[in-house]
Amino acid sequence: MNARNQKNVRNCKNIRNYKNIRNCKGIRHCRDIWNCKDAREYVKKLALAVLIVLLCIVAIPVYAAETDKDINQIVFLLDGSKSMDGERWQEALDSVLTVAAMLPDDYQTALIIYSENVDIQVGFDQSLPERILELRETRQRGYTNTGEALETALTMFDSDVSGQKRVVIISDGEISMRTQEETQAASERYDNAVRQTVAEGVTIDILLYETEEIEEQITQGADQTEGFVFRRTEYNTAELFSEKYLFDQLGLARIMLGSSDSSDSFSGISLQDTYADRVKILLTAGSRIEDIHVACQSKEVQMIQGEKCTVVILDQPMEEIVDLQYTLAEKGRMNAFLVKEYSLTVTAEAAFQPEINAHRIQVNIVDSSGKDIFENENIRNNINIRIDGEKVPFEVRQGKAYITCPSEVSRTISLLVDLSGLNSIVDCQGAERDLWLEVPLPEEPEEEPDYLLIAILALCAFLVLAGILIFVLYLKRSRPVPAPAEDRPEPSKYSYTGMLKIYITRTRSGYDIPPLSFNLFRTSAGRVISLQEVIKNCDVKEEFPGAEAIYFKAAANRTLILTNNSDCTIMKNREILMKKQSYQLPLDSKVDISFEDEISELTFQYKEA
Amino acid sequence: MDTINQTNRTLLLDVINPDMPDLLTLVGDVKGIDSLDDDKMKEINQYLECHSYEEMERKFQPVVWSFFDANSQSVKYTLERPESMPESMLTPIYLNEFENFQKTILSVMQSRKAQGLLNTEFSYEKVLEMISPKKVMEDIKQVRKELQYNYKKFTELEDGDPQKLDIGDKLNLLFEDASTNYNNVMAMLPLAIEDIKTRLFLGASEQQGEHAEIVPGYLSMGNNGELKVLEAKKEESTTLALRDDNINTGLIEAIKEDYQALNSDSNDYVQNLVVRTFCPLVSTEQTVVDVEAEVANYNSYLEFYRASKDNFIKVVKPLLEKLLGIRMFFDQYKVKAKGMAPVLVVANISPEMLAKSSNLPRLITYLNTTNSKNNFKDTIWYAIYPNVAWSQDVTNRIQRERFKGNVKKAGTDVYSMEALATLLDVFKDYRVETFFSFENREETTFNALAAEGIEKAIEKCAPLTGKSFSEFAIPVLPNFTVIPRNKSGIILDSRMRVTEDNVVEMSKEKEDIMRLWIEGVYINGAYVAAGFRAACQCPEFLKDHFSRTKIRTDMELPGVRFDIEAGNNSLLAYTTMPKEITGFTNSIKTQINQKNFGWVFSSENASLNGEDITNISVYKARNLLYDSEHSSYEPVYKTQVTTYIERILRYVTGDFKEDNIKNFFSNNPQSQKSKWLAKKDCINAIIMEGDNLDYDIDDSNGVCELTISFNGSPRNLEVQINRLTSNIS
Repeated sequence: MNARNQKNVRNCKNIRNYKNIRNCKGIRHCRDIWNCKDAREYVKKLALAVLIVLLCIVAIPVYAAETDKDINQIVFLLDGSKSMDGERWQEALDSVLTVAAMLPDDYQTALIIYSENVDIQVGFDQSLPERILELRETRQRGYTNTGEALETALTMFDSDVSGQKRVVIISDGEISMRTQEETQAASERYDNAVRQTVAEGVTIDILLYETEEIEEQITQGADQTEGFVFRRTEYNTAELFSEKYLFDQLGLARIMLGSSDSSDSFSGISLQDTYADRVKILLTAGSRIEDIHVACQSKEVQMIQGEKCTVVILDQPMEEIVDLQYTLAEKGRMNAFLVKEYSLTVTAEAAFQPEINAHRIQVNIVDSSGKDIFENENIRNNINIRIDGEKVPFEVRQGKAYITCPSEVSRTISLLVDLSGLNSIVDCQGAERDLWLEVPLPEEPEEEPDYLLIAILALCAFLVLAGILIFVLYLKRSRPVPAPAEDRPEPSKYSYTGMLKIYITRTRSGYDIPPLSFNLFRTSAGRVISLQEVIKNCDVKEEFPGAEAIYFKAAANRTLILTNNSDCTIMKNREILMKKQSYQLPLDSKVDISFEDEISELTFQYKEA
Repeated sequence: MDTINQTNRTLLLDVINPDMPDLLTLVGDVKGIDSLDDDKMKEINQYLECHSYEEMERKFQPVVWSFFDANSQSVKYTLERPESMPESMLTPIYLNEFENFQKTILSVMQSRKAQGLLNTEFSYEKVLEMISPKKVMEDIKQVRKELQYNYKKFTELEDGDPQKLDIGDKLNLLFEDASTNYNNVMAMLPLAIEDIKTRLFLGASEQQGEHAEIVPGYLSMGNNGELKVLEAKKEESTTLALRDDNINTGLIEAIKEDYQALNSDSNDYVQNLVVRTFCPLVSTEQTVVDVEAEVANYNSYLEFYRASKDNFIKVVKPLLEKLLGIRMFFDQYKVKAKGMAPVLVVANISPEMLAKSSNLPRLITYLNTTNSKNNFKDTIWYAIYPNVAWSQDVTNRIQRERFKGNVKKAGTDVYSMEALATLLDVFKDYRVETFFSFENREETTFNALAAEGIEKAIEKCAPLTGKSFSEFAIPVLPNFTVIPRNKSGIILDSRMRVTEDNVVEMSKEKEDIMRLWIEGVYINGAYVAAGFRAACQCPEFLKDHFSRTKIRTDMELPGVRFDIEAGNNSLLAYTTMPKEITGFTNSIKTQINQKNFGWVFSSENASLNGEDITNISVYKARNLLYDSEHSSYEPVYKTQVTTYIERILRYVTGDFKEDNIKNFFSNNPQSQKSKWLAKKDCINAIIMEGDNLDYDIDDSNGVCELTISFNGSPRNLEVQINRLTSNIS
């Protein structure tokens, strides 16, 4: 058993681990082992298991389960009677267009244009924005029979739809037919249809064009289904309805790009990242939007243009800045919104690190093209990771997030990646998952069994003493906790050779320090020397945080042992030297250190003197 | 040479063009890595490795940037591209073979070498006149002649004739040449100066330099038989003139059109000037000369030309000296059949920058890749560190110019001894021998060395002696003189003045003579020394030089053991530089021989087998490792032989395997040592007569100690034997 294992055996904390790892029943069980016939064999296996626990890193890949998306359906009922002609008709079509174009893939839309009968029907299987362009020139005529339209709408919904079902009625609110009787019958038909709507769990939302001399008869439908009623007045424009409906009622996550009251364009819109699968930019204005020009590298650019609204759809944008230019027919209000749709996959792996007695969980989030989204600082800052419901800090290296999770026993944790901070539509696989953190079992070394037996005995004795100590502490809680011993490595039996050539490549003060050399062979044999002592010896006044916990000691064959007990990043041969570990440096080794302040850096070479 | 195929790859530590990639940039971030990958090395070689001067010129495109400063109404030049200046305002002047100043300097070197004259004997003034407007005009006259000849043929041929198209191509090229002149005003200045002079002095005898109007006439006899020159009647000349004009008018129009097409803001004066310069045979066009205005223009053009040329020379000179150095580096290698030709890797970065702590890890990583592998293709053997500060006040910077002083040499400051020491400390680990020489000034020339000896140089090199890296520092003395400072004056021309009789004449007043001072052009000795030593590594080179002697050259061995000081070697192999002075005095030579210091060139009168040596030879070839036993500095070859043997040993023994080491030194005829001993009588033998190579293995420490004795003087080398390594406990 090597020195480090011995130390672990002595360490009271590790003994507790021992107990848990083996799933044995405590010290008594140890005694049983000792007493049993094959005790020596058993201890051998046990010690080997300890060795494996301490040396191996177990990676547990976790694969995300597929999640089914809820499909939502919305049917627009557009009043095509005479009372809706002219500007109202264009506005109404704009509203339908805006809502239909902005909704993500899990929403399906259909349209019914009705007067005394259902005139035009556009099913869920057809592209609404495309059909709307054709409907611009339709003539509005006849009476209004909302009831029939509502009945038709209810027949259009698929029975197996798991999400919301909504009907949006855009009308002036009047139900009127040729004769009084017919009107009465149409009203009743509407009431019946509403009742059926309530029964089927469909919500009715209404964009109501209030007209002074007309009494509206349809909003009760919205009231009964707890729907949304928007009354179109001089100030409550149809564009405002689209915005409110999309973002407030349907809860579409969006980023407000800006609002302006001038005719200048929002040129240079920043998407902040290029991981989104689809980006939609919605422009709504008080007047006609003309001469729209979009420049952005993406897989496909689509532009859906209404009278006073425009939706720009970028499929898989490749650059962060979108150049968007347009002119307004008249100077007036203009709002711009950004809706990003991400398709992400979360994977997580846990690896046990015996030297810190904790699991290191690596969380990786990739977009649909496999790029790590943690690379982006903005995204990184807006993502939260929760373990068992508690928000945990994480550090990001090379596009992956790392969380240190102290583990003493094997257990399952619940890991949640919270992406709500992105303010976007996120379709994420594996954002919530359970993760098994396994603390590996120790294995028995083959050599020096006698030594191990002694160690186990010492361990048992130590456990007894520790138990007594804990008991005493329990009784006298006020007694102060003893300070941890300095984790300076133990002295070496070898003599130093060679020298260190130190090149300070970056300092906090910014001063350039000439190359330094430190003759190790003049250092007394066996002495453990810290990097700070070396630097101080070279008369350097700069501070190098963490240098005091980087130690050197001589080893066999003219090598040097470097022990890193600091939080500095130490690199050698493309490898990061782990904390609390020792590494052997042969002659001519080159090591790069970034200190704890993340500013100071140095490179040293261990060379022959 | 199948193991080590080159022993002369040289690293130049200097900047040629700051806009081009440099070693530091190309090496990039080296955190956590020991060496560079092969792709990176390929990229570095692609950008920085040069096999000839022309390749260096192509890769680095040495350039001087010029721009006009409206505030000072002058032309400014700089070696670094001014960042704040828009691209359109900058004019690059590439220092290639067409550049006038460089052409002049090269002519000086060539003619001095051809004539075999010493510095004092050579007439610099004549060659340097090439910079004056008169010479520029002479060049243009040649272009002009060809232009007219070809244009005439072009107009004579019918359209569609293939020959006409061929001539059209020629004309395009000639126009391109001509347009380089009228595209920028600076190039127009010498033309304008000469043009004014021609027009004002038309008819005046050159000696008198006075202006008088000319009237065309013809010779006839008077009634009494006396000879008379009668004024010709205008109409009589019309026929001749018109015939002439058919060609000229076309050419004039073509040049006018070309000028206007190339210059958006064209003006009539320059247009006429261009036309007059390239089409002077206009016989029917009458131009009125405003004498006062033309004289004023002439004087201001001349002054402007002098000032800008002066500024240009001051700025370009340091760069030009580097380029000459590189040219001479490659020039040393002259062989009948090319073998191991020297290769120069231009770091293109200031050594001061390279020596900064933050940058050294990059250099180390680069050298670790080139010099610590058993692949010797990219191994760097030498380095050139030029322009070491002669005086200590390098860092003194003047805040304000109180008196007219020297123009600042932007980016071409001399380099410090401290940076050299830092770099040597790194080079030592990779066994790179560094040739360094002091900055170019009168104190570092042959003249100064002959007068003052080497004491000063020894004193200046004191910080580098007695150090672990001293062995790798080779101080080169002296620098070479291309144009001595005291002979570097060029008379451009004199001012003009209008006398009381309204006659124009060239002023003969001393203050009216326009003069330029180049203030000396020198070549750093380090380039020549490195180039020469690199050339000596090639067996072909040695064979060419020693073919007259009975000494054999082995074509498989490099010249690492070639001792230039031994016997008559320096009279058989010498540099390509022409002699500069009559020689050193005996006392100076005694001093040099006593101290045995540095790499010293000599410009001695010498002859071998009745043949005079007219070139500069190597007198001493020593580094700064002081051998107190013999009270002298060590010869450079010892270091390279040691390096060579160590590298071969490492390669042949598979990284110092004990059995292989024993085999290496065994008496078996196939052992490496035996192979070398068999060639001991060659000029490039690794082990020469009197040398010995021995080894001793210390089993307890796992160390093999090599002893290489050069004529009895031992050199020790310790290598770690490759055995099973024990694990740490």
